[in-house]
Amino acid sequence: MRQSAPSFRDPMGCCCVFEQGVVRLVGPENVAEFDGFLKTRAAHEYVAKKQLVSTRRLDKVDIAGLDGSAALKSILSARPDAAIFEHERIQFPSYPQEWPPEMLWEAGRLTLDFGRAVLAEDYGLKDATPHNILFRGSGPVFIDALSFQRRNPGDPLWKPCAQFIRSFLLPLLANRRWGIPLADIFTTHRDGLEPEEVYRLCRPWERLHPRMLSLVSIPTWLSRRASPDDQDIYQPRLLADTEKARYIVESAFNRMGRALNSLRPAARKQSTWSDYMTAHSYADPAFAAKEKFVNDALADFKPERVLDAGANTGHFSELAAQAGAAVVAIDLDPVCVGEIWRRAREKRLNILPLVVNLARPTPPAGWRNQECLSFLDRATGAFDGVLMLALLHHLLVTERIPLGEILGLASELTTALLVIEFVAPQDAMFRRLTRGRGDLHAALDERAFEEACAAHFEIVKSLALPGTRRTLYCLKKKGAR
Amino acid sequence: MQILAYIDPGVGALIWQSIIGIFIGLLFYMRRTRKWIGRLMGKVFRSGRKSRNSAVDLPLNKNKVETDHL
Repeated sequence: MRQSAPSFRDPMGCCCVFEQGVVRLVGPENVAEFDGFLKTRAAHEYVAKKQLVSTRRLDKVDIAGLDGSAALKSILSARPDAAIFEHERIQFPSYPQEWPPEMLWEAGRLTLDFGRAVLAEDYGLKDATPHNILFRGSGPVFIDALSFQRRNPGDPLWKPCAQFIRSFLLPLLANRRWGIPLADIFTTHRDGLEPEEVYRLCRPWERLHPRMLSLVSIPTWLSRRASPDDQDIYQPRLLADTEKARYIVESAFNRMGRALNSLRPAARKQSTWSDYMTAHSYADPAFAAKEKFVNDALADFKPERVLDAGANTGHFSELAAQAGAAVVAIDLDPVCVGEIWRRAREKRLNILPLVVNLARPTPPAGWRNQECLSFLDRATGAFDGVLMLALLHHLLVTERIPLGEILGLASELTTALLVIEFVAPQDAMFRRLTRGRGDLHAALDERAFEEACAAHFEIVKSLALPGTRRTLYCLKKKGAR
Repeated sequence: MQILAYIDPGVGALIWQSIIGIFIGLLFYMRRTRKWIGRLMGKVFRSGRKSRNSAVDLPLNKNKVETDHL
């Protein structure tokens, strides 16, 4: 797995991910403050709840033992005076552009709850971006511990409030009101949407809706009236009454919390694929046979990390998670992925659901394309089991990806197991997708499929699903132990 | 204290937050005044009740002291 470039925006320090772990360098002038935050009651409580990454300071012996990349070594030598902390590692990093609205909402809730909790100990959250959060399974974890800083008790403003609105509330609002996918917003806007951008999307009467008025219209009107050269707006205005200052800051958090609650994604949304599990083409015996085949493959190989590609609402992801694997479930439909997230959260399953189209996987983003890694950079070789169930025909027909390419990618993703469902061109769903272009796949049959598999995999077993034109294959990557 | 807030605080949203802050500040004083009046009234009522009770309690207290003394 490739690693993202060291972080660089925060002047207090930087975070560096390398093969063996995650380290954070903190400048000598900020160490006491950072140490102080780690000792707060709120930090301890959130680490215990697994909602803040655990962090420990490394001593000289630990630092000497760091066997990192060349990038890490050069950073350490460039900052010899920095204190070094080690964070726990979150297994599979994900980004807001891959989250369904449910996950962005949950990340927003954690941001507000944590930010409010530290106020009592005179610490404040200095930035409020979804990039501060990763998901461990379906649970959000605050990873940027350096985002907390001692706050001036007399300061009545929460400066990152505008960033919270831009990067949580307005994307959720735009997604809910106009159906704009979060992937479209966050792939091109690191910090979400500006009120002015949302204002332009609103019809005139919509701008007067109370929610729009507060989050979009009034900030837009005020920013138009403000002089761009007026630096006075940004000068801190400290109050002598610290109790009053805290009351005002807490009320800002409460206001943001109410706005977030009003944008909570609705359950049981409908999409093209959300009813697949109730409307699929399998008869009960065929589906039972499919479940048993997958369960047996999971029992035989015991994969620890499974990628369920084309997971739909996550039925087979749940089977893998129940078998003990840490699962990353990907699908292109945000409604399905949101449903996986809800169920994983309810059942406390180790499933990280992401909105990823395997045919157009998440591209890299950010400065030099190194801040957010592409999905394939993170996923290549990161799994010892891959499920590709009822996916092959979509890639072959809709996306026009050659069979050899699909199997080649699968062999790069998995280090051992691939469970794949072969769908023959005579299958009803396959025919529906071809839309009269059936001739393009006339030569595809089980034999041709098995020959293509042989380039990367050994066939362990296969099962023709009764009453269908589909066959399940349990494949072992060549050279895997 | 040097606050190393490196994020863009916005323009309109920051001004709007400041305006809301002024109203919340007024609300804070109203709340504080209400609490102060509540405390004051509580004190007045308590002291009134106490003076009534103390007249009734006096013989009992006296007895208690006497018992303790014995």
